[in-house]
Amino acid sequence: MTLARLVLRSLWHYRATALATAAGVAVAACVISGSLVAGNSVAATVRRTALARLGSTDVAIISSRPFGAHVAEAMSQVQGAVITAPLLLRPASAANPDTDVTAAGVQVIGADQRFLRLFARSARLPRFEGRAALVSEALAQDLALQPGDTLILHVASQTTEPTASVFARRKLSEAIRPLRLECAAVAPADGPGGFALYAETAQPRNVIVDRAWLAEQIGADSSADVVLIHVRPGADLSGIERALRSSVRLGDLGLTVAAHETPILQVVVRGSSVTLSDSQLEALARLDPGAAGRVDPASIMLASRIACQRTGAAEHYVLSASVPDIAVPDDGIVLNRWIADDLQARIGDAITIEWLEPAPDGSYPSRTAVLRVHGIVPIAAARDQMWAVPEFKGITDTARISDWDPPFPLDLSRITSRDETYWERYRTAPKAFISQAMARRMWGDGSSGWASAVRFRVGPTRSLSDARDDVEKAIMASEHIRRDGPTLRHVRAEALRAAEGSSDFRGLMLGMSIFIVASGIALASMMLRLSTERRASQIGIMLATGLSPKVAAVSVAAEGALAALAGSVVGSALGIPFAGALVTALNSWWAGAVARHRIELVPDAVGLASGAMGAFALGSLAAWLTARRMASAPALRLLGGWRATAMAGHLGSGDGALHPSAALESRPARRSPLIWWAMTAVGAALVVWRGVGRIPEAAAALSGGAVLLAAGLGLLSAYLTSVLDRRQPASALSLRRIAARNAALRRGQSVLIAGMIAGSAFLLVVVAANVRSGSSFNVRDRSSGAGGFNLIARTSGPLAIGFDTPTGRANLGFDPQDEAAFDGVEIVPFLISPGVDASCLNLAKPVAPRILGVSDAFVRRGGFSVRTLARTDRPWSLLAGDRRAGSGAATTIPAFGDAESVRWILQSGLGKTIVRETATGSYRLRFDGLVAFSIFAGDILVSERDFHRMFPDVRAPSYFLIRTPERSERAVADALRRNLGDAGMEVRSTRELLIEVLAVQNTYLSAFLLLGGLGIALGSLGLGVVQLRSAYERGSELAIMTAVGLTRRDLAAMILMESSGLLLYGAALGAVTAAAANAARIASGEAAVNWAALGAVLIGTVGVGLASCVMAAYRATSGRIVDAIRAE
Amino acid sequence: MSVLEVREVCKVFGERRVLDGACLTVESGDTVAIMGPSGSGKSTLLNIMGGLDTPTSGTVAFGGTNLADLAPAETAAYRASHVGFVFQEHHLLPQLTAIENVLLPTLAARADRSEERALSLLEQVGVAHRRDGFPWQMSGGERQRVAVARALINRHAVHLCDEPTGNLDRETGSQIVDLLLRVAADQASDARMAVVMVTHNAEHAARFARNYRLDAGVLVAGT
Repeated sequence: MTLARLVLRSLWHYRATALATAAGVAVAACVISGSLVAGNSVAATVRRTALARLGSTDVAIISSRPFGAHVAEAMSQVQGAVITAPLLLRPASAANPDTDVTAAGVQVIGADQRFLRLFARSARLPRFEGRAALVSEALAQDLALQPGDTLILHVASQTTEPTASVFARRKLSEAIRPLRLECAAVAPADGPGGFALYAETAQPRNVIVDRAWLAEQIGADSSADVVLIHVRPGADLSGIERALRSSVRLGDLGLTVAAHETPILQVVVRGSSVTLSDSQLEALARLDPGAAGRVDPASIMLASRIACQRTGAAEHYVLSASVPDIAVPDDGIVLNRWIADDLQARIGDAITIEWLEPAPDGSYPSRTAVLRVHGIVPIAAARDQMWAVPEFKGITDTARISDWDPPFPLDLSRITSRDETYWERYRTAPKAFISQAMARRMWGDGSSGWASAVRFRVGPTRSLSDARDDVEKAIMASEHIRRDGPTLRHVRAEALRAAEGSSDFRGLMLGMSIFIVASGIALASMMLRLSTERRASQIGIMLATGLSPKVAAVSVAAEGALAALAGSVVGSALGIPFAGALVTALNSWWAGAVARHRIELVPDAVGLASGAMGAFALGSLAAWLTARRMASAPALRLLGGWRATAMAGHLGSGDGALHPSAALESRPARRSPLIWWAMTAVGAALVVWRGVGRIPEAAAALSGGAVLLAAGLGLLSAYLTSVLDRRQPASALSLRRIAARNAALRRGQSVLIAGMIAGSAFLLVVVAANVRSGSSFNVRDRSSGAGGFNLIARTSGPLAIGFDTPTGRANLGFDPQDEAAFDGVEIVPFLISPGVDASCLNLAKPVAPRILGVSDAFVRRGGFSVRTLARTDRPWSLLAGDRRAGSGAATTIPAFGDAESVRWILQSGLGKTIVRETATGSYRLRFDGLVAFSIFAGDILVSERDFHRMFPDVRAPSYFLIRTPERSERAVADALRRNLGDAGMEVRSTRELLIEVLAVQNTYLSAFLLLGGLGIALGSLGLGVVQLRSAYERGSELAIMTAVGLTRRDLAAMILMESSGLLLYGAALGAVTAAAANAARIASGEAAVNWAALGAVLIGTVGVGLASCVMAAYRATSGRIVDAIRAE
Repeated sequence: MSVLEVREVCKVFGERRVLDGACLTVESGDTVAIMGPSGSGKSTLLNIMGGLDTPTSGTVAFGGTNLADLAPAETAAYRASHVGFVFQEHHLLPQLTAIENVLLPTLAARADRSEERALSLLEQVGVAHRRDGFPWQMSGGERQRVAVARALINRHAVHLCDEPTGNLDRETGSQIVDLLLRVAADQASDARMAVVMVTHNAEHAARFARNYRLDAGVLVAGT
């Protein structure tokens, strides 16, 4: 006789209980494994998608400006580089001319056949050249395109000028280039059609065309701004970094360097646009190019008119410069001899200078200033300053002024023959010189820069060519400047990081299924407890014969553990079909929870093993706790049998003996039920306070409801205690009293069962009350999540001319008949950066979230509900708050974000920071404000000033919030789509966006409701199983009752009464307390409670429970009951 | 040699004094019968002597060691090694065969688990033919005999029998008493087993060397 044999014999003898225990654990294992596998499937799908979109790309060279072909060539020479594919990427919109359907947010990929080699599923795709294009699956579906169909693309033209610059080409016809293409084939979504550099859930809409052809069409001098590289496995990537460093040239950084001997020895650095950006200027000012001396900025500006007030003479389109070699006071002007003669100006004369300042509405209002002539210089001196004037296509490359093709209005009638003579002789030699302060003023607010060149003086001991080389070397060595050019990105590693996702889907799936897990373990636990109680006398004799309580407990617990082991193995295997069911649900009814992303089932051994181990651990723990509790009871009590054990437990007697006298005389003091009534009052008070808004909703819903729930269970416990204590007349004996006594005898288990049902019902009602209704949104309320805006509009690229004014609309070519619709309409533009959606609609982790630049006008306007750390009546003003000084990694910027996105997707919070890398450096965004459930779910907001610092290349808005009168909402939306369709204008209602975001949350809640209901139903079913088992154990009692004349129906009714009372009480308690706690929310209409579904779930689970109890009752009373006496 | 010594043991439940200064000395090889009306505290006294219960006052010493000084694990060891119990209810484990039930105490005492001894005991109690049967396959008498055999497996110094014949017919009951007395008498002089039996049956009691009566909590020698 060994302990092992005892365990195995007992296991076999009580195999019915062991089977029920194993079944309960199997359910838990099945659900845990299945949930983990389903969650892993979501993560695996996101990962597969992210990697499939890159093909075999490992790293990429990426720049915000096109760079030369030599860079791609250098990459292809690197050892280990298998494929290098240069690309030209542009935003666009596409349209099917046959159906007039337009799609915005299109990415045009200029590539060659090397790009297709990166994708396995591209072998059968035809070559694309000229106007033949490959169209991605998603776009082909949107536009209903087939191979051979025509599509019209509107692509952003190449531009180097900041939008706010007078030299920027702002008209739509100049900024956007229409291209007529033919769809050569549809590119598969898991191939080149799905290409994206950023990991995002939404399907990309791509059009792939020949790169060289595209560059020619959009006026791009260089033919690539991205190079994709696939390397041999194990290849050293440092070779690519070295090749990049050595191949990048000045032009790739948007800079030129030239040496000049006049007026002094100097090295001049100019940009690819008329002005250098602020970051370029800052970086150049920090350079230390060896022996080169002082650094001086220079600026040029075109004055539309210069007139001498004394003589009345005037000249037009005068090139004016601010140069370090000609000192000018801030209120002064220096003229060259030519213009001084034309104006008959003398030193001291007042000169009126006019210049054009581009306005957001596309107009060019004039600005004027009055300056005093400070000096007159010879023309030669002016010619010496030509180094400050950059090249500008359409102006500096023309033979005559009348051949100019400037982006600003030019009145050719103002050009005289003398002007043409000057141009012919002296070209861009400035006619006037102004101070640096005046130059900055003429360039406006500085968002387009102001300096046209930076000059490095060369010391007397240095040769000019050496100095030029030194400057170039210093530029190429500057990380600050190089960051603005082609940089290496480990896109594959980034995609894997992003594919980890923000949400732990394993935990999410498990959390939604937790009721089922709990029900399974509870069923197993109840069966174990029931069985152990019935074997109390066996355990008693084991103790009496000298086995220690620990050994006795181990022998009993080992049975439970073995049953749990069997259940966990079987259940874990069943986890795969359960996961399959969850994945099927995610691909159908719950598609909103995964942003409609198609999920593939990916079984993983870790998930299955974890489920098995978790369930086994839970089952074994339940077995151990049950066995230990029983074995720690005094042996004498156990020898008295289970009823004596239960009675002693009820009486709370601590003695080892159970003496009849003790039953009557030594009862310990009972906790008065008054404490439970007091708790009820406290809970009710919390709920009422919430109803009048005195305490936060979340606090009341959970704490008030929980207190009421606990009080209800306490009252149940007190009632059951009183049932055994009560001295009722024996003549009033009834089946109901016997049923109540039976339930009271197992008071702990009865309260546990009722509590389990009550807790589940409570959570289901709370969850249902948190489902929000989109119809209750009042988007016109300024404090709502829409901030009072009812429309949101986006264009494919920045709009240099705003449509928020009649002038702007006219300049954009709006149909005059549409103007009436814009009466009373408020339009607020926002700058928006490249990046990914940071809302729950993107399953991938937003490694580079989109940033919105908030204007001062919007800060003044305010709106939305914003929670801030600092108390303020103007929360949006915090965006202009303090920031840590510094650049690069040390810069901290105040930011706002949607509260839900910041918490759940960005894993951050109020006062906390996240890091955002940009081409200009690394920035820490500190969340100084959180916007409650808003249309900003996918974006982070910063001030426009900080936005310019982070993204100097984004120069005009492409994101617009619009508030229209209700009557004109549709008309405005239609007008925008019609007139700005070429710019890729997309208009949707803010309500629609909010509902889309809400749908994700509501879907999770609905899934939780369904799975939770399933769990409760299982628990109710388990209750029936427990009742059945219990009845079997009490066979002799039922036999005696039969022997005295009670019918089978009477016995079944008695068993049913025991369980149904607990079931109904628990369900009612949970539902009522949860409804009370959320009454205010439900009454206000904020909660979109699906009463039908909720009622069905609750009634269904109670019904299942009652049905199982009925079946248990009739099953237990079938057969020859009196045989139970003999068996006993 | 005194095996068990009960001195001035009192047991009070609430306001009711069940045992009042009971004194009893059990020598090696003694056979002691305790009689008394129902509820007089006979089972309580036996439980205290076996370490299953504790006295309100007084002492119980085994081999000079006060049971109250023992830790719970030592009390269990005391029972495993020195005390055998026979209850009115057989308390056989239904999942074990007769011979396995007999061997159950050897798990606790880590004593000789040889089936030969178990079989020998089953033969002595007259149910060897039921060695591989399960309790539900036996009559009440057979089950009680197996329970007696179980109590004897570890050669305990003392056997405490709480109305072992209470549920049995007269003839079977006599056989059980015969068995107990025979086993007590069969032991070698240096390892003789003492038997203390609680009974209602005067006939059975008369066969024991010493008789006591427990009445109103007081233990009095004689009938």
